[in-house]
Amino acid sequence: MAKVVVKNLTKKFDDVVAVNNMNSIVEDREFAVLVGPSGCGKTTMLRMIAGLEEVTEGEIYIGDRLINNVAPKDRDIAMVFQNYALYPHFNVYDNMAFGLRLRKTPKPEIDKMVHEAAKILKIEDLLKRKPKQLSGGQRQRVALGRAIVRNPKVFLMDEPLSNLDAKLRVQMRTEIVKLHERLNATIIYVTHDQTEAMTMADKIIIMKNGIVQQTGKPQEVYDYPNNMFVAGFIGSPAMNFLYATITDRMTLKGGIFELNTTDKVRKIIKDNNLIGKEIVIGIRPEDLEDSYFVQNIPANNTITANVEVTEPMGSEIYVYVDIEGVLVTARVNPRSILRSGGKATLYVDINKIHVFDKNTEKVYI
Amino acid sequence: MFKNKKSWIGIILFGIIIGLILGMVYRPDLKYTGKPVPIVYYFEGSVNTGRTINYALEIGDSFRRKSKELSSISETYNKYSTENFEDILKEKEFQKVQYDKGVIKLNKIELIQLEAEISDLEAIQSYISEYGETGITLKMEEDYETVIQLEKYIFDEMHGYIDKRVDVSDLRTQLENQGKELTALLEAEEADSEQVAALEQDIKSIKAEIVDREIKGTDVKGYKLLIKREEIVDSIISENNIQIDTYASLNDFIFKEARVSRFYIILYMGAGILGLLILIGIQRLIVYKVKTQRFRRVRVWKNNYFERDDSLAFIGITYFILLLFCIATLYPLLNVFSISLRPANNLFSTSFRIIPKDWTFANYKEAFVSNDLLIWIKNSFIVASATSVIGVIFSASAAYAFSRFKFYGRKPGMIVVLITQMFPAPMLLLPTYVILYKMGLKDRLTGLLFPYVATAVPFCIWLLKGYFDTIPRSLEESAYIDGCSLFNTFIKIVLPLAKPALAIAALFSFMAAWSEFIIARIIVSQSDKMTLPVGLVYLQGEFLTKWGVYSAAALITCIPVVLLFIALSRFLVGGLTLGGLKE
Repeated sequence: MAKVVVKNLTKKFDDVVAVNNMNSIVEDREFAVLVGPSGCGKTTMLRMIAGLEEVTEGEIYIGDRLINNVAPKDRDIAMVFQNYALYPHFNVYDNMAFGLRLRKTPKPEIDKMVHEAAKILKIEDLLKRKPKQLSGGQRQRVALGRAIVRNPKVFLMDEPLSNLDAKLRVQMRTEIVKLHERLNATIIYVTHDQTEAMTMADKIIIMKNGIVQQTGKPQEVYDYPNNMFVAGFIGSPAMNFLYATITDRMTLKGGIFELNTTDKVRKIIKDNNLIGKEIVIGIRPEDLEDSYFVQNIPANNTITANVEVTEPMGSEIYVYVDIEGVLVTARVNPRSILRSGGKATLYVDINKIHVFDKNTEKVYI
Repeated sequence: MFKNKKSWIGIILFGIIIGLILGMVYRPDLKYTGKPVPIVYYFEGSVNTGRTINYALEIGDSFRRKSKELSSISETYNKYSTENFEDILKEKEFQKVQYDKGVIKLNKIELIQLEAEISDLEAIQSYISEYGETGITLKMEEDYETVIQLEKYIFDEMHGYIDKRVDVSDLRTQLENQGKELTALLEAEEADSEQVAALEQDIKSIKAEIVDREIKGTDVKGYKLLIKREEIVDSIISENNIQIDTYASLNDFIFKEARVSRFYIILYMGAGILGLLILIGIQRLIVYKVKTQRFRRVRVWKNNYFERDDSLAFIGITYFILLLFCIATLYPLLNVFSISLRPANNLFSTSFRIIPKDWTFANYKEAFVSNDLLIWIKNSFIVASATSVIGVIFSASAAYAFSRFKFYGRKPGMIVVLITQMFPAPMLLLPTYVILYKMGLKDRLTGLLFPYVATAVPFCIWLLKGYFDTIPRSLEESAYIDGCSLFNTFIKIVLPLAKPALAIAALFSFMAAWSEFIIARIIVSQSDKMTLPVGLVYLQGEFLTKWGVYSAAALITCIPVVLLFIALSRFLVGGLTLGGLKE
């Protein structure tokens, strides 16, 4: 087991910069998730750690060893590919034993290790089968088995669940988490699905356009996003963004609403001299509630708007309202009687709103 | 429309079987009676007509037959010369009638003898009626002489052409000498005018000879020689007013005398349509049963050839076209097969039987025994397998590089590889020959390997590169991480996955080398170094080709390739990479 350190890492494909001056540390035995929209450089990053792509600039360390120019086979890593990459002409046993055989492990030991791994993943009865005789979930397990059987220092997983159906994905998610606990290994996991990132990670690394936007624990990233991108990317349904101007009275005024501010916000407004300036307010859907269910609402803490669509989820209702052309999502009490076409008065929990700079998209609070 | 590839194979096989059955069932023997004949005769006629290149050879052959016939007549004449021919003829004819009725029994040889004697006696009778008892011997000898002479004449004429191909240097030296002599004579001033005239005449004739040889020397090369032969034979025939029942005249006869019967046409078409209707009926029934799941367990029929809503016309046309192609494909093959089974050197037969009545394997035996066929097979096998092994090794590694690595000149390289395929092979003959000659590889099998591998590799590179492109890189990357080197990955992961493409590449290079003729023809001239195609052509004599043996050898030639094709056919289906990845 080892930690992975990335220093000033840059990767260029001709003129395109895929990863730009990246610095990151994945601690020993940590489950790190690289997350970001497609094309953000997260897979390139992973492939550089694996040694499948050359590093343009910067350094990668596994443990204390600089591995920039070490061949993939000598890096002591294992990788799980998005498409599993099982060898079609080998059966499951051979697929798992392949790496061990190449490392000249004695036969009885290989046998022991493969069976052990198969036992962990509950694929013992599939060992004689060829990959094409397996279902998607089984293939996924075999791919994982092939990775764990070698007991490497670092596991690299490249969107391993994206090819599974929704239900299986949830199931495998928990299994990978359990596997991590059991193996106590360093795992770097790439995904574009923020739910996976949130549920599985010890540490989330959010990337965009080859640049790391924020690194932190899932809840940290959720509660204190660095910028509008992170705020919008993490969380489902996504955070709502509304344009507003800060008035002399320290309220946030949009076209059809005016919101009071808390002391914390006021302090920041003063510190940054924001009065009269346009800013962006970020409100998470769960911080909007049907005012019917909230008692003692202070003045100026509600927004009234037309309801476009409602989506009852059982445990809650997603209400989509139109505020100045922006579709805002609210997660309201399931007993709410708001229906599309009607008007909704939504209570805003002003303690939890975020304020972003309109131009730099950086967060103020 | 068609659900999968298996259906196509099935439908083609089905068509072939139907075609075979039709061919077997009705192949009547042709009789030259002037009566209407079925349309198939026309079909056969049209296949065989046209200016055949073997016309001259056939005529040469018919001279031989004529002389044989004549010698047989004279033998019969000598045998019965003491008796009355008319009585003997009657007696023999009576015997024949009795045999026909089944009163007496004769074995095949006796029957042939009897028939030959009857025809001989008839010929003698007609001689007698024309020239009288006394003149006949003389006349017969004269006829025999003529034919022998003509045969010899044609033979000599042909050889004359070939001999005259030799250079004209001797004539030129002769010419020089004569010229010197003439100037010497003229300078001496005591020239005898007769002597001078004779010398001048000599010089003239030598010059003419040189011109003649040069012209003929170019004439006799290749195809022109055959045309020339034809001209010569034609002129001899017209000069001597000879009637010869050559194949060509026979063919003309068929066309003049035989008329196509409308009845037969209607019969054939009717039978065809009826057959199709029956097929369609069966088809519909099966489709119905499958769709209603009554037939569920019979899996063979589950892959139906047509959809349920295909119209009858569509199905009919499909079957018709398939049958047509089956006939076009099978007819020449069956013809070769048929010829190989015929007892004597019969290229053309009036019989339409696939397996002739008096079929024999003698031709196959002769092909093996009296020729170097076994050596040729061995040579071909060595060359073809070496080509395919070396070619596949080279092209697989090249194709992998082209497919996976980015390097300077990758794209131009691929295009250059493709361009080499665009030159017509004969264009490369001379350089190939010169290179191999200078390398000392003429008349050696190794010499054949170079051009064969060189021509096989570009095609295989493209084929394999296309296939390697479809193998996901993640498999190789996974192997790298698992601990493979580049070479190991190639050997352990890529090549096993590319088996179908490798098999096809190997098959194609094997077949190309196995059946290649032109290069082999120029490189190899010794019989023991020949490959099969060259050997086959070697079997064609200058004036007489044993077509039976030739056909037998041709069929033997194709057997290994067919076997190889069958053996490798499972790879042609592919689908090996299925399942390793999520599609």
